[in-house]
Order: sequence, then structure tokens, then C-alpha cells
Amino acid sequence: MQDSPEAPALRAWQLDALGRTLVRLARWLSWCGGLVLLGIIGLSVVSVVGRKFFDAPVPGDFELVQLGCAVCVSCFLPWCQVERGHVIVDFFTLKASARAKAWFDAGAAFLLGACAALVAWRLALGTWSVWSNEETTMILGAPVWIGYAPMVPAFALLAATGFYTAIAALRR
Amino acid sequence: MTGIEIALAFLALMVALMAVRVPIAIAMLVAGIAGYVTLAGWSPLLNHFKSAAFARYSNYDLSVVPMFLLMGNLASRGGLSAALFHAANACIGHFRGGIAMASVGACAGFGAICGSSLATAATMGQVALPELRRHRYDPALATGALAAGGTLGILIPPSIVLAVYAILTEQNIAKLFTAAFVPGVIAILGYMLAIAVVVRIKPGSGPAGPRQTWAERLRTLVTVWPVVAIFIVMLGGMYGGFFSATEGAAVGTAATFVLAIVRGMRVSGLLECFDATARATGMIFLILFGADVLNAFLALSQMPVELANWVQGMGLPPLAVLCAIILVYVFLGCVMDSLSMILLTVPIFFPLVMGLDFWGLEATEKAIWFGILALMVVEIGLITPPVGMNVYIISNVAKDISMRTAFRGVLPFLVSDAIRVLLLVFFPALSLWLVRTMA
Repeated sequence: MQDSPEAPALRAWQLDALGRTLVRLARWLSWCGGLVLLGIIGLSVVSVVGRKFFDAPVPGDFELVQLGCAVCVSCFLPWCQVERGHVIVDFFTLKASARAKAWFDAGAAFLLGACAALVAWRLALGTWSVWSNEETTMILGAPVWIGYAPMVPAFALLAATGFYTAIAALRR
Repeated sequence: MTGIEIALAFLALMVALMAVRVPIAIAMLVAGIAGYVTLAGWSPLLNHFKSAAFARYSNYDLSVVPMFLLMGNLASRGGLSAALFHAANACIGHFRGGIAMASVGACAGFGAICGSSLATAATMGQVALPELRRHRYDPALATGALAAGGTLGILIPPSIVLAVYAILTEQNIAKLFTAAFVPGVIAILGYMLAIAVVVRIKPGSGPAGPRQTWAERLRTLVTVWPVVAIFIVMLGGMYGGFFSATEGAAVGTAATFVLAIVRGMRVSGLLECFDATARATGMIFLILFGADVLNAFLALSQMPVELANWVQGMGLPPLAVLCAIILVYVFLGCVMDSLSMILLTVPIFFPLVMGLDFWGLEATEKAIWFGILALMVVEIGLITPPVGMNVYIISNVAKDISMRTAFRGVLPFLVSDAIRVLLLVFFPALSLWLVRTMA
């Protein structure tokens, strides 16, 4: 099990324009995720302080944390793929040739892309259904689709990065 | 085919995929999708996928994971790992083997504000290894102490793996964190004892560092008081019911954020923290989603229930079953990471353990005890050959030290780990005592 030797981060590769764009998009998205994370941290702190010291709780704070958490972690996914940060078991292929490993890695990245594309497609339909049903959270009445919608481009970018990694691994 | 046969067939597919370098998360996901479709057909799966990812990721308790990861990164970038090491070193560095003991102590201190072993090993490796080399420590002892010390990151609360266990088994996160505290302290003492034994057998392996004045000790200790304060407020508040685990994590992260800014972090540093947090969070949450889909399939196949019934029906002594489970963890730990192991095995092992009687513990206490036990056993996997992740990280910092040397250095700490696991198996009170006292 390892995180990345021999499978260097995508951003360290010689990339074409498409690759550079994907890396940049993934980075921006991860920063957006980071800001959302800071947001839910700030919200939770305000809620604790308000509830305990000023008798002024933030109603439905945990609903916003839930929506924010879903958005934040989805936004982090493409960057993890760019960094080749997903854990793999390399024990059984320690002695395989570099060529064989490149083929395995390409296959793996393709599978990742396919799974992410499936999730993105279904999530898009899911977003549509919570939007058209006007589903809202219990306490705040916040629309649930604001949690769903950002996940769709995040998974779509993860899929694109996966497919790109697969092709780039073979080209190398 | 029966449900169990189908479950086994797709678990075999998952293992085969993992063997050819498919990320663990994707191997679980593909096997889960394929199995689900085999048992229930495409349209239930496609329906399930409309909301599955959102349902998994919008979990309130799980939001502690990115928070704890960000907190660890902020603490590391804010120079807290260096401050912790210098304080520990000033206090005990002048003993024989003292600098290695100080590294273990600093790892424990960092573990108190970081929920991840890999992050602890990486940051303490960068801080402590140069000092250990400068004082001519045996490379095996130096790397072994740091790799083993890194495992304190998940053992000392907060702990990401424990938080995930709590969510999987619907237990109270604060109680599990409390239960991990005493075993964590035993781990620190056990590791220090291991170092003491090594330097007694081979006196040249851990020379004493210079003795510091009390004024100097006090000065370095003052720099680490915020770490102690954050730990106490966070854990105390969680346990005292003052705030939820998520709010505790948020308060701890916000405090660390302020601390990092005071200690000179700027926007570029914050963005680097985001990058590192995104990478680690992405890894964990893809595994979470994969495990979620796999477990949906396994539940559909009824395999976990039937396995638990079968084991119960055999009338084996509970301790034999527990030993078998521990052995499975040790073997899996040789090739897999700790979180994947917990996610993969807990849905299967947990009902099994809950169906057996151990020392007459009632259900909640048994769940807590097994969680701590599982946590300790999976962290052993981080330092065992052939692919201990912590050892790999440390030897990445010390490029001239071979993995073989590093694994040799880990051996005394493995003995210490094994003794501690046995202690906890036979004395569940070690983990439950503090929970009972504070209740």
C-alpha cells in the first residue's frame, strides 16, 4: 500500500493544454471546498458560542453543516486524483515492469473515471428531482438542491481527470 | 447461487482488482456495483445512486474528518510540531535514548490535535529526524521510533479512524475518544520503554543529548501550552456534552487556525493547507463511498448476518473468535491501510462480536472496547512489513536509510504493540474505566 512513488502527481507530468486546464480546475475547486470547510467551521463555532454564552443558538446549524460537508468533500475529490492520492495496494505488482504498471494504472484510472461519470450522471438526475420536488431541510427550510448541485460538476471533473490520467499514463 | 456465494465471488473480484493497482476505493465500488446489479438488477442501483453519494457525504458526524485533517495541517504549518518536539527534547533529551523518547512524546502531543497517523509521522519525521541524525542515533532506532510514534496519531484522540468506526456502529464518538485515552497513554509508555530497552542492550544506539537548564525547559514548554489547551477544551467539551463532536472539531480547528496565523501563516500557507487537506479528505471520502456501496451489496446478500449466525452456531469460545479476528487484521494490515480495513471488516465483524459474550460486558461497552481493540490492531499494520505506510513515509524523509533498516528498527515497538493488545483483550477496563468514571 502506498500513496504515490512511481505514480507521481499529475501536475508534475508534462501536460498538454487540456491536462493543464484540468489540473487548474481541480485546484480551484479544492480551494472552493476549503472555503466551504472554513465556512462550516465558522458556523459551528458561532453556533456553540451563541448557544452557550448568549442564549442565541443558530437554528438548524447542523443542516447547513450537512449540506456544506457534502459540497466540501466532493470539491476535494478531483484534486486527490490530480495528486494521485488514492491508496492502492502495490504489494502484488512490486516486481512488474514499468510498462505493465503503466497499463494497470491506466486501467485503474479508466475505472475511476467510469465510476465517477456514473455517479455524476445519476446525481444530476437526483439534483433535478430534489429541485423539482422542492425538497427542503426540516428546520431551516433550506432547499436541498444547493447541497446536491455542486456535487455534479465535482464528480464530472473527477471523471474527466480519471479519463485524462488513463490516456496520459498510456501516452507516457 | 446463494447470497453468500455471490458475496464471496464479488469479494474475490474486489481483491483481484486491488491486486492490479486499482485504488482500494474503486475496487470496493466496482465490486459493490457489480454485486448489487447481480442481486437486484440495474434499475434499483441507478435509483440508489441518485442520492447515495449525497446521503453519504452529508453526514453531520462525518464532517469531523475534513475538520481534523485541516487542523493537523494548520498545526504542522504553524510550526506546532517543531515546538512540541523542542519542548519534549528539552525535558527528556539528556537521558540515554532521550531524543527518541522525546520524538515519541512529541508524536503523542501532535496526535492530540491531529487525527491521522500518516500526517503525524510525516510532520514529526521532518522535525525530529535531523536532530536524531545530528546526535548520531542508530538509523534503525531513529526511524523505528518515528514510524511507531506516528501511530499515536490515530490512537490518541481525536482519531479519524475511531470517528468512522463510531459512525459505522452508531456509537458515541466522544465516549470512544475517551476510551482511547488510557490505551494511548499506555502506548506512549510502552514505546518509551521499548527505547529504554534498546539503548540498554546497545548503548551506542541512542546517545544522550545535552542537558537543558530549567529556564530553557520552561521557555519551550510555554510555547506548547496552546496545544494542551486546545486538546482539553476540545475533548472536555465533547465529553461534557458542552458541544457535539463536530462542534468540538470546529472549535479546535478554529483555535489552531488562529494560532497558525499568530505564528506567521499567510494566505499562501493557508492554500497549501487546503491542498493537503483536499488530498487526504478526497482519499478518505472516496473510500467511504466505495465501502458504502460495497456494504449495501453485502447487506443485500445477507452474508454478514449468516456468517454471524454460523459462527455463533459453532459454539466456539469467544476468545478464539476474537483471536481469529485480530489475526485477520494483522494479515490485512500487511497490504491495506487502516481506514479501508475498518470500513471493509467492521460491517462483517461487528455483528459477530456483538453476538458473543466477552467478560460479561453489556452491548455499548463491548462496542467501545472492540472499537479500541480494532483501532490498535489496524494501526499495527502501519508499521509491519512489507508495506507499512508510516515506515515508508519516514524512510522517504531519510532517503539514505533503507526500508530494511527501518523495519528492523520497528521490531521492538511491535513487541510493545503486541503486549498492549493482549493487555486490552484481557483487561477491557483499561479502555472502559475512564468512560465509566466520567459518566
